[in-house]
Amino acid sequence: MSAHRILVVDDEAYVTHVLRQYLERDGYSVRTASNGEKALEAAEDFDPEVVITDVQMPRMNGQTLCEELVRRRAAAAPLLLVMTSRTDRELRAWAQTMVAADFLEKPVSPRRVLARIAEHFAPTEAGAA
Amino acid sequence: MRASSKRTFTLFSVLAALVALAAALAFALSEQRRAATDAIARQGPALTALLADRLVATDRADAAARLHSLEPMLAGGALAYVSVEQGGTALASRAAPGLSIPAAADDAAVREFDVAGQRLREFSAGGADGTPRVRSAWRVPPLALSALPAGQFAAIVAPFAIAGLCGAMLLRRGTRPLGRMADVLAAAETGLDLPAGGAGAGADIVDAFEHVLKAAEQRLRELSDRAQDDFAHNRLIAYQKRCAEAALDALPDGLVIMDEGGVASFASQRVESLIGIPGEAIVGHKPHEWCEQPDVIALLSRYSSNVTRLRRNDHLEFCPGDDDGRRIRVSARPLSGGRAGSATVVVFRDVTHEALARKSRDDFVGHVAHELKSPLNVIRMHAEMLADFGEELSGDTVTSINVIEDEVDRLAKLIEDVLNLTRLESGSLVIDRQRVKLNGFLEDVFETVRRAASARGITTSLDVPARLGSVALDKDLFRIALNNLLTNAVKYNRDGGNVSLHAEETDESLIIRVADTGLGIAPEARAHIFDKFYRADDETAAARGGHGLGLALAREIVTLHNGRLTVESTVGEGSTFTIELRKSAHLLQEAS
Repeated sequence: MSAHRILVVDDEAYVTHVLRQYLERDGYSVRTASNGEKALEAAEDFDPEVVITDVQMPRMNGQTLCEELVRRRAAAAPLLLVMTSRTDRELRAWAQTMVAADFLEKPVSPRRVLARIAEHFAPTEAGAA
Repeated sequence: MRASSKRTFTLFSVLAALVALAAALAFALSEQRRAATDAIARQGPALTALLADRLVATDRADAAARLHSLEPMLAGGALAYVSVEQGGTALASRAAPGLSIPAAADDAAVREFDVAGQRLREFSAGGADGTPRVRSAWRVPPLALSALPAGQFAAIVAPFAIAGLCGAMLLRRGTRPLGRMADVLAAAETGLDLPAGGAGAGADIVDAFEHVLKAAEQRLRELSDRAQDDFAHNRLIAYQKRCAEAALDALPDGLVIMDEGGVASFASQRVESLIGIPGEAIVGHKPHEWCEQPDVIALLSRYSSNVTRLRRNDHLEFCPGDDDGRRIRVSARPLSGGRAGSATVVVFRDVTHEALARKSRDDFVGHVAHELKSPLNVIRMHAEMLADFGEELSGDTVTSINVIEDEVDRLAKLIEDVLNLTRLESGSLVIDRQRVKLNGFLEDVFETVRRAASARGITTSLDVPARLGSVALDKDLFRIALNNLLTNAVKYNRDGGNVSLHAEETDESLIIRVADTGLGIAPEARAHIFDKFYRADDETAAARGGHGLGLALAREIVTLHNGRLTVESTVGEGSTFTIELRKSAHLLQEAS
């Protein structure tokens, strides 16, 4: 079975670095991008199953990235994990409109991210747990 | 005065009646006499000429015979005498008894003279060219009552008499108020020197009239003065009203006053520039007739409803009409202490600048929060990675890493609470209530705390009835409040203690209790635990971490839900925090 593909998007290299370490240790195939535009380019050939993204980034922010991914991939859109420090309503209202978007409240615990992804790929196991 | 006036008046009435009677009588008599005179003037010359024409000269017998035929007329009294003469000698003559025929005058056709107290009018005809001359004399009726037939007299006099009496009565009645006024005035002005009864009734009347006139003049002057006063007063009131309106118009706020039925009775000029609705369109109308904002209509309509009892003034913010970014706050305040069915003052205020200032402060706080959290995020991630990826770590290092992780979480929580509290206090975080099934919601919130509790060996118990009703809540905010209470219950608990979440429903409210078996709160501290940044002066408590905003935020949120957050505690045994939410109609209406 080929490894699940995860795309990590953050302008903070320290963040992408840590997440890459954890994800690769657990056997995932990881790509990173420093903003939304680069993430879209990477998504073209990488076809990620999960996208972990920051919200506030230069060039293209996380919200636009998510919307673009949903628009381009439609039903095959990846699971979107949005890391945010903002808990304001607009963002939550926006999340309601996104299918399969989930929030990761900052400060993000890599262990919890891994747990969330594992749950996503093993729904039956998670359901049994 | 009164008696004398009455007497005068009676006298006057009788006199008037007598004068009327006399006048009537004189008129009747003169009419009678004129009729008789007319008859003489007609008959006299005709008869005289006829006789002169028919009589044959010097024929005494013929003359005597003809005159004899006039006997009834002589007896009737109208004709006094008739005589026929020729050449100075009498041919024949006839006269009423006791009447002697006077000598003829020269050629006079008509003459009038008195004989034995009797007025006679004599007509003569003929006498020319040796023809006999005829003279006839007629009695001119005297001006005497006896000459009038009794029936005619009565018919003439009676109406006059009755009319006179009626007139007198009417006159008396008509002037009675005058007399009374005179009496009253006289009684009122006893000081006035009036001529005594000697001057007679006429003087009384004159006095009375003078009084009336004086009084009328006085009254007129008073009325005129008062009218002037009233005028001045009205001018003053109008002036003050204009001043008040000008003042209201000059205020930066717009004012609308609604009567108890919700109909606007006043709108200041500022209202139009604030919300773009002219005063004429507002005055005389109900809110839904002039306002386009559903929220504002709902707010204002509450004040015209007879059902609701309003406890406080109410306000909300809206953007009027065009999307030019202006924000207007409308607040309503009943005039009579919140009793329904009273007039309401509605104030419109431009809060655009406030809103902008608030927004920029919120933006600033939000920005700072974000910038603080980003490095915290990195620190947290790296601390975890240090623990998970490093080589074999010493116990101290593991402890240090745990401290770093805990402090990062605490700092992040503080930032989040500061952010929320700032928004709540500035009013920019508007509460967004939705119907929430309380038992599912409580279980969900409790689950996150359960993990933290079990890590410290603290047992948890959830006691929420399955059939708990739904309630209108701002889910996000209420979760923060509950989470703060539950986190505290774990944090300030003893190892192996218990945290419980209990909920129950009464007829009027929903009650949620968070109880711990921890340190408890000293009585002197209890009054302050909801204050911002208050930390109990207790070494054990201080060592537990926390930042002193959690409870302040929780209470703020519960209050926003029209609820109450209270605490009971026994030192050494634990604390119980109770949230009471009223299931008021108001609350349910707003959620629907």
